Amino acid sequence: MNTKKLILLLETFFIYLALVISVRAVTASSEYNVKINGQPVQFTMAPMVDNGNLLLPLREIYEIFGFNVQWDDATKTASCVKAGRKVLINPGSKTAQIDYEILTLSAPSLIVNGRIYVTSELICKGLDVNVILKEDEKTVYFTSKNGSVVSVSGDDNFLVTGSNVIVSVVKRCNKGNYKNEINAADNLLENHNYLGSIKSYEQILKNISSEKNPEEYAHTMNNMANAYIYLSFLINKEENVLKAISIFEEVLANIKDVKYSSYIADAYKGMARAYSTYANVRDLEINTQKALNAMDKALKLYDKEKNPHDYAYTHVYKAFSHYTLANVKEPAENLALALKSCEEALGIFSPESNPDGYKDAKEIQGIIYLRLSISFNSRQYLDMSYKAFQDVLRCIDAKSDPNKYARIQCYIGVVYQSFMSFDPSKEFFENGVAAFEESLKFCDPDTSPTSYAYVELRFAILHLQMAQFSSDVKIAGKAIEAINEAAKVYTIDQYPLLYANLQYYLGDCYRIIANIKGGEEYYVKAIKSFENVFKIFTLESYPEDYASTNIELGKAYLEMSDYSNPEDNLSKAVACFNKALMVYEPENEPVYFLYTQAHLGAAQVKLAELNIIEPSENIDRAIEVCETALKIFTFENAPKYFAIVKTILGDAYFAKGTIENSEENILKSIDSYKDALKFYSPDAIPASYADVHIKLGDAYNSLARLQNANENKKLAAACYDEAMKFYTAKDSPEKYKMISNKKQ
Amino acid sequence: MTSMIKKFTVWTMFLTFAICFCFVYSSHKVIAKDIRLTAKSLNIENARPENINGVIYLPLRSIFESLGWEVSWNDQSKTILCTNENRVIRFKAGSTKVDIDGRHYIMDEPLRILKDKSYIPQRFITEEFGLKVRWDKKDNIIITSDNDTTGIAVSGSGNIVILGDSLIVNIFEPYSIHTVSDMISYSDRLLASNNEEEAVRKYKEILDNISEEENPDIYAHVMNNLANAYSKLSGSKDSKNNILSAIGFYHKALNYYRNNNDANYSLTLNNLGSAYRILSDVTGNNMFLLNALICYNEALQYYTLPQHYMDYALIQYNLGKTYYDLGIPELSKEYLTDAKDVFSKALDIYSLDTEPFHYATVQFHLGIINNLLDILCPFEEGVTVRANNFEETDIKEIDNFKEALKVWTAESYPLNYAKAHEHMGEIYTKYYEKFGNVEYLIMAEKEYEEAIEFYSIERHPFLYAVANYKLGNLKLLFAKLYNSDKYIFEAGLAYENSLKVFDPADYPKYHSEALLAARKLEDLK
Repeated sequence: MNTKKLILLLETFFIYLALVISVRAVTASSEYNVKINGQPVQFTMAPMVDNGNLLLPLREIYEIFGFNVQWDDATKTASCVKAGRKVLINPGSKTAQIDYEILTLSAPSLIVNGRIYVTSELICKGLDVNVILKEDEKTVYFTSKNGSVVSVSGDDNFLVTGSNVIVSVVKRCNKGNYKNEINAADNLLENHNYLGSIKSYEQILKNISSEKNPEEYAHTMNNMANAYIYLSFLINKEENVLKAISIFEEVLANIKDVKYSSYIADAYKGMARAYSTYANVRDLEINTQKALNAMDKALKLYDKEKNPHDYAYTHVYKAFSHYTLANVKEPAENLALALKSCEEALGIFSPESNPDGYKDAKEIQGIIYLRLSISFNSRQYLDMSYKAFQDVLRCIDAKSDPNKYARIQCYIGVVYQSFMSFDPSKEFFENGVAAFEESLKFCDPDTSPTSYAYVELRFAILHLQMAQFSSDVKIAGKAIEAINEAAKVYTIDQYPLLYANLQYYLGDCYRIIANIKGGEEYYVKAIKSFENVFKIFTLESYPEDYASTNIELGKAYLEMSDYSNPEDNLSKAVACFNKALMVYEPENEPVYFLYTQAHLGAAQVKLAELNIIEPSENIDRAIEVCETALKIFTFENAPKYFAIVKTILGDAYFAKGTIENSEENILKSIDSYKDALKFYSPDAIPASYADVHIKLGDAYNSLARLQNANENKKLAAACYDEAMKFYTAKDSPEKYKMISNKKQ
Repeated sequence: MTSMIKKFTVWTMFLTFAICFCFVYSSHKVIAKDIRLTAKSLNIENARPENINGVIYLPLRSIFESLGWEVSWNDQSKTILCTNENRVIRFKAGSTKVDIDGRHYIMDEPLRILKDKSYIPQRFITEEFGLKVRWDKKDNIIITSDNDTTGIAVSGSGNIVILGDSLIVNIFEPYSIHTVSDMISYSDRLLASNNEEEAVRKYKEILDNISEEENPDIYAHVMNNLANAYSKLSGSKDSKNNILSAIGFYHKALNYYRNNNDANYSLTLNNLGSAYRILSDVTGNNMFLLNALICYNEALQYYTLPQHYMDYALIQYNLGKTYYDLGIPELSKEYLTDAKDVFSKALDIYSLDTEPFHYATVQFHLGIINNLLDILCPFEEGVTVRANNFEETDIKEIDNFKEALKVWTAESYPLNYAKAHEHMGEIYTKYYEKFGNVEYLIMAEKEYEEAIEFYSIERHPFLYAVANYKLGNLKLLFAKLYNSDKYIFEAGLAYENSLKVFDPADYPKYHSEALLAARKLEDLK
């Protein structure tokens, strides 16, 4: 901040009048002040006393009184002229001429430090004023005889008298080259001093106009808008992005000449970026569409050969827009387009030729791979994503670009979190925590609340993921804590999309706690959160999110049915799953489609057990769905889903066993549960391990009624014991009681 | 010149809701050859400057204290807090960032500490506190502190003479007219994209650089839009001051429009009328409603059917609401019925698919009109049936809002969404009071709580406070119904929240109402 000069454009000077003036006088060491009609006047050259004679600076005093003072080097004469009056002085001489009268002086005029000093009588006579020296005050008083205190003539004089006067004068340069000022401001922007650069650009804009300086205007406006976009990543996202958009619109409205097409293209490019950022705040589809339109216009104006970097950058933003759009429609197509644009950009950017572009392109590539890995449940993409982020990290350090560094560390945390869905190991969790903590070092809740909230939310999701496996109430609590931090920023009015996301995860946190603790209380909280999500994620605008929220809400109702109003809650669960199925189709989203179907099956099995719906038909359908799902969810590819569906299948066979072919079906259910337990290890996923053991115990108990009573009863008891290792009387009293009853 | 300034027309008749900050300073703009000004001495003491790396610095404490501010230093956070009445300026050691009444400001150079004293660049002082003098380099400027400039003779051009003690002066050359044109265009766009605070800041900057005499048309344009910005801001915060500013600026704009037969005249009149209505609401003084009536009636003369469909309907609506607030049911009913007819016909033009935003706007207004008409003539259209069969879909004014909400989603139009829910809350409350069916009360509670989620106390304090006050009233109804401590507590909390904003100086009416309600609650305990 200290090296810059922000007001370079302005010719600015500041004058201070303090009463102390230092004068380098030859003979006199004392300093005298001057007062004209009682007003102190500051001279750069002070009066002085030489051999008892008061000497005063000729030029300054005569100029104050409106004389034009000129020096003729040939005749060594100073002439002071004002309105017909003429005073001539020869330094060194004891005479001077006033108009046509010769005046004899008590002392000759002197030259001190290149300035002429004259006696007070020349001032008295020449200016028609009284001059009094008050030695005790060290002050020379001038009092006018004709009432005119100060008289100024000529141009561009600047006279200030008095004490404690603070003046600034700002002059504008009407012509000239603004290159240096613009470069200085650009430099601030490049060094991530966004507010400083905005201020500099605003100063520049005060001196130029779109009419007179179209190029400077367009460049300055475009970069000022870019600074607002960067700022939006840190604080007040919507407000800053909207400012950026307004500025780009101004450029496009004011600069039309084809001569300036590169600036116009820059404005479109910037606008595209602004809209794609805004799309992540609200109105995702509309804003992304606006971003894509602007990009197309920019790409038409950029020549791939002539402006390779701009061309490539536009593709980076395009990639980001398609990535964003994939959230609401045609995910596969949009992600493919996003990847393609990224590759296009990376074909031009290399770490050597354009490190900035390379970093940005790699960052986007990383998040696209991350999204693909989630969409296709693919670990391979996840590895690629991890690699892309590591590539970026190699090019940056925390000091030079703390914001980007924090962002990349955050993404790496997300990658670790995603690894956990393939392998719920503690190591991934701990690596994830470390990455987020590193990221948080550079996100200050006061100066960059937006990025701070984002990292907190992702941090919460990591804990949530861990809590899903470990069923540790403390970890879930930690997730809720982090979510509440993020919620301070992500309010529904300012960040609707992130608000909805946040509520979704909050609901999940409560559901996990509810599952562990049992009882209704936390399910009610979870349901409230999920319902908040629907204020934003409607079926029309955000079908995918609408569907996934319905699955989670359905699961909450399904689980809650164990504790209250089974009929009511189960039918609500069915309704939720059906809503999700309005979105998921077997062709487009096979994974989610089957996942939902399986849960719908689970709800129907429970309803069938209660004889609310026709049992055998519904149970058979559930079994069929589960079997289909298992063709895709293999233990190797998707162990988590495999275990979930196997559990549901076990429930279905168990329920079927109560209707027909008991022995055969119960054995099948036992097999299914055992398959699920392949994934549910007591260390990594203890709650599910315990839950399935309860079910297994129930199955053995039923089997005991049909065959090998003693042996199966023993097996059942062993299962219950296994479950009670997790559900202790202390932490989960309700569940513990339930299991104890079963055991007896 | 006029052609250079793009005319800005928003549908300002729909006063929507926004955010504010404003900064008032004195500014002098004179265009005479010799500018002679008298400046007020400020009693600045010890303003001894320091030159640090070529930048002139001034001691912060002595200057601020001289100007009547209180200065306090927080050693832990290394910040300096300066306060003066309701203004707050916050500096940080070593930082260029300054927080001025919640607005970010960047100084050219950072605050420095020298010999345990803090110093700030003098430019900050002249910009914030200086007497502003616009100067075009040719004029001479003479500034004195003792009223007497007769003893000073200046000839030539571009001379500056300042005589006197303890003065802060900021002399600056104005922007070129082309720059002004760019700035107006940008400010208009900021206003249109609901960034009123930034727009106000920019318009004020423009005002420093133009004068009414030289550029009357630009001046009027800036006055009008500045007023629009303040009017929008008043709906969100600092209502009284903002609406008073708006009214002042509207009058200045109208002066020009009236004399130049400008097309904006009638529109601005209507906006002024609405500003008076807001003032009446905030102060509780019904006299301002009479001013509003005068404005609306005059504006109405410029609008005829069928050319000015929307405008005509809106003014009728405004008149109807004003008469309603004045307690003149006959006239209110007449105008509202008229407005309803025209709005209903407008729905033929603005359909949900083709003009969704206008559609929502019309439905929103119809909702309000239907509600008021229902209050004015309650026994038409067989409403009693509804009392026994609670069916929310039966209520036509609720349907209007539901139609509006098809467009005004929480995501896309958060404040409009909240406003619609607030109105629905009012309507359900009304039906509860009419028929005593508790279902209505529960619905109303839900609606208010939904609305409040969107009104943060920081961003929209006025909306926050009003909604909390209404919620408090509702909880009080619950408390009476169930005789429950829980509801008494919740009502108290809501009133407390509203009183955080409603201070007696700025919101006299609301303050006394909320205070009264809170006292009544105490009695109930």
